[in-house]
Amino acid sequence: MLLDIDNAYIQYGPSVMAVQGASLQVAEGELVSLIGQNGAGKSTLLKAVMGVVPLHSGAITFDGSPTDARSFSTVRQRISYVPEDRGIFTKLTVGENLRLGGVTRRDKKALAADIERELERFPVLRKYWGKTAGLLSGGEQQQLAIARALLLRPRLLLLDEPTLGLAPIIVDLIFDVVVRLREEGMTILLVEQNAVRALEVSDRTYVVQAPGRVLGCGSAAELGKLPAVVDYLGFSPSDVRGNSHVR
Amino acid sequence: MKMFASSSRSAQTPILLVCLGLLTALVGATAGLTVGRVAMVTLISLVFVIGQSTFTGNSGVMSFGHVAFMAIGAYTTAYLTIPVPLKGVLFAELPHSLRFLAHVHAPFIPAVLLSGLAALVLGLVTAPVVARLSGLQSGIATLALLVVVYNVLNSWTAVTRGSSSMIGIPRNTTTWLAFAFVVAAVIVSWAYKKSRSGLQLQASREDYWAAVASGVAVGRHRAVAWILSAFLCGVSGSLYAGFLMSFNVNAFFLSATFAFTVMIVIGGYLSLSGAVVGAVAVSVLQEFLRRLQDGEFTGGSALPAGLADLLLAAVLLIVLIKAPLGLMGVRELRLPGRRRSQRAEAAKGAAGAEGEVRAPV
Amino acid sequence: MSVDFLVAMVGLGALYALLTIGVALLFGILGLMNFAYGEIIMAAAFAMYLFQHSPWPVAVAMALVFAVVVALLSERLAFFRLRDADPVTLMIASFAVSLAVQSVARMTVLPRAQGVSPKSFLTRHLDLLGASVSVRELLTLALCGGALAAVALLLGRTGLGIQLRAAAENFQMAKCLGVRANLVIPCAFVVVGVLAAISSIVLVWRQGSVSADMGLQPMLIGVVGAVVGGMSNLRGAALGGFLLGAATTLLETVLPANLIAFRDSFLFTTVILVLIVRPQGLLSGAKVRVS
Repeated sequence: MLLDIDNAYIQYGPSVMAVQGASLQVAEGELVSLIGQNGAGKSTLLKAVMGVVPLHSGAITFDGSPTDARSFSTVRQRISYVPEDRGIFTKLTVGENLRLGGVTRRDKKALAADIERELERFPVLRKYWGKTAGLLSGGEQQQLAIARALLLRPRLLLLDEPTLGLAPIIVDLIFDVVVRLREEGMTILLVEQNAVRALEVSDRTYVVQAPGRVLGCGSAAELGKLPAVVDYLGFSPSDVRGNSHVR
Repeated sequence: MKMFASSSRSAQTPILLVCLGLLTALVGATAGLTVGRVAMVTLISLVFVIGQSTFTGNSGVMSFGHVAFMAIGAYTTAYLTIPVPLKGVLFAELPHSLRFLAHVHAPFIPAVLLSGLAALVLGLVTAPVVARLSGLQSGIATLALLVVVYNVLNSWTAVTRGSSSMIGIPRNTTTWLAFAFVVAAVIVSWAYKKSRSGLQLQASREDYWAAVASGVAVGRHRAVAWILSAFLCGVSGSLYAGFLMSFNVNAFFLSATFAFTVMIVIGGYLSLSGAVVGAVAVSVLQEFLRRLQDGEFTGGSALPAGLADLLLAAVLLIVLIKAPLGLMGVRELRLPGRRRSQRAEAAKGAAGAEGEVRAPV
Repeated sequence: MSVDFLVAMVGLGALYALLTIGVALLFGILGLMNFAYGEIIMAAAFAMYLFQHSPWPVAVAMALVFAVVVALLSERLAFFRLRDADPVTLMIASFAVSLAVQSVARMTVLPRAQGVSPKSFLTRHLDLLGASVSVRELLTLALCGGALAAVALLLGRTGLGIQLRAAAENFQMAKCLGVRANLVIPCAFVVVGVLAAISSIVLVWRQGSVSADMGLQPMLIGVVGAVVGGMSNLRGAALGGFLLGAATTLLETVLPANLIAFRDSFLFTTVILVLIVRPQGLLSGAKVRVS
């Protein structure tokens, strides 16, 4: 397993235990998504992987090494993270934001080529290259955040609600990109409110219930057989045309 | 019965604080000249920090400007108690509209209260500012207030004697008088803390927006606490003038602000007991450092001047790093009660320590 | 307006802008309103005093070294351990650092103010466009202007500058991307040390003396400029400082003599008003889209 979260307890804020005993795995090349209601603890799990919030107990290992070890570095292990608020530096230009995505890379030539490739993928970024990032629209900022995350050449990409609050046409665009990345072999862990779209694109989906408990996991069809999941989601995942891109 | 028990429990803290003041006063009244002087300055500092804590402790907003109120109190007392003939010499160049100041005179106790009122007026004028600001902005604004008051006192030579010392104030502050004002300050501050306004202000300290959303007029309560604390700090400035007999405008600027900030932060700026304990502890520490600097522990050879300040700064930094909420945190002084109430206290304390104690930023 | 007046005004503006940047830079990155900034300036002035009889490049070099060392030490000993503290705690800590550095100065060489004899070339005058301009004013303008340009270049064009600005805006995200906090923050303190040293050299040239509490006035100017210009916006802060300097020069010629002593009162009343009316600063064009 590339990422292995085992019985994680995560405290959020001074007194709330937001995640109580979550376990999940992501294999290399997989697109895995987490769905569940607001406050279920999905985002907290991603933050714990990044070390933004500390692990209270349990273990998170990436490629065999525990992420809370002192020597562990998400950057050196090439884990990229797009937070829910996108984490764009609004006072910097689009170009400067992108350069920061590869700030640790020494292979400047390859980095330039990678930036060029991301500009092909997101043409709007080329158009606004020298513009202050704070002036971009929400959808444009989201594209910038994803492009910037890819410049680390990540082995694991963590996406936290990439389509939150965006226009439907942009949502389609983002999901297209996610699917394309999956086809290129990227390993992705996606947190998504839009359960139907997540089930459609993912290899496997974890259904998470507050406080951070996994109700069930598997493909859309498999989840459909679990009464607790159907009950929690309010619809049967097996009705979703799942994993369309794999076949 | 139950009510009686709870009211006696809630009176425990102010009684303990008064006892601490009493101890200081007793030391001052019985010991020699040097220690007596230290005890007196401690008592005056106690009035000041209790005053400042009335605002910072309840609102959670730090202030660096309260020394300005102390200055106003001291200058008012100087005007009210310096003998009229001497004033004619000291303030020969008073502008025409302020000529009456050369003739006013008051006995000491009314002068102390009037000094408090003068500071209160400045508090009233500046209250709209603190009512609107929090966190760092409030810190800068209160500091700006201090700079403005200092600049005016330092530059308005005809009225304030500028950078020359204010002299000829009769000595009226006795140890027991200072102690009496400490008692009064504790009572006023504690009564405010337990009042409706005080409780609402503390609610805003725990969670500003939740308090606002519950209909607490945070600005108004902050203003009330600010004005009250201005009065108490003005009183302490008056006592200070009546004790020293002469003072200089530089006594009311950054080094005084720093000294009081150290007391309040080390004790714990969110609790009244913290301010009191901090003032006593830092006064003792300062005296110890002064003696160290004068060579009392090194066989008479004086150490370089400035060492005491350096060590005080180091102590403050260590407290900020190790215990940002000070010795007391949000707790108040209590006697260890019977086992059951103790356990309840402990549980409460733990809950308090776990969360909700951060000041709004 | 005569040329010498213009040079003096722009020069003081540039000096004040430099002071403001020194305060605003650390505020932007760490949320630290650094009241110890004045003591970094004092440390550089202290070096100028110690080495006043050496050739001037040595004195200048030592000023830089002293300021950078004090800046780095304050980071290591105090602010490093308070990285997650709230701004008010940081501000109190900077008070403590300020007092500590001042006491060290008092304990060693500066119990009293000391004179630094001005270099002879500073007192000369040059003929410029028909006006006689003092070399001191010209050098003030050149040095401060140069330093400002260098900061602008550093922050705007270099990789370090981008990282510094990114860390200033969103420290957490910058760390996630691999910006090394333990490198970038000391770098910021080094930059602040260099800026302080340059302002200090100019200040010593202008006032000809050094004392333990000489840092207070420049620090207050930096704070006022930063508040007026917008604390988390470097360009606004620099502009705020510049306008403050220019306004000061103007006030000193325009204000009646008996009101000049109250200049600080006017300035700080302005600060309070700005905080109430426009807490984000007069000059910060808050044109950032939220969603």
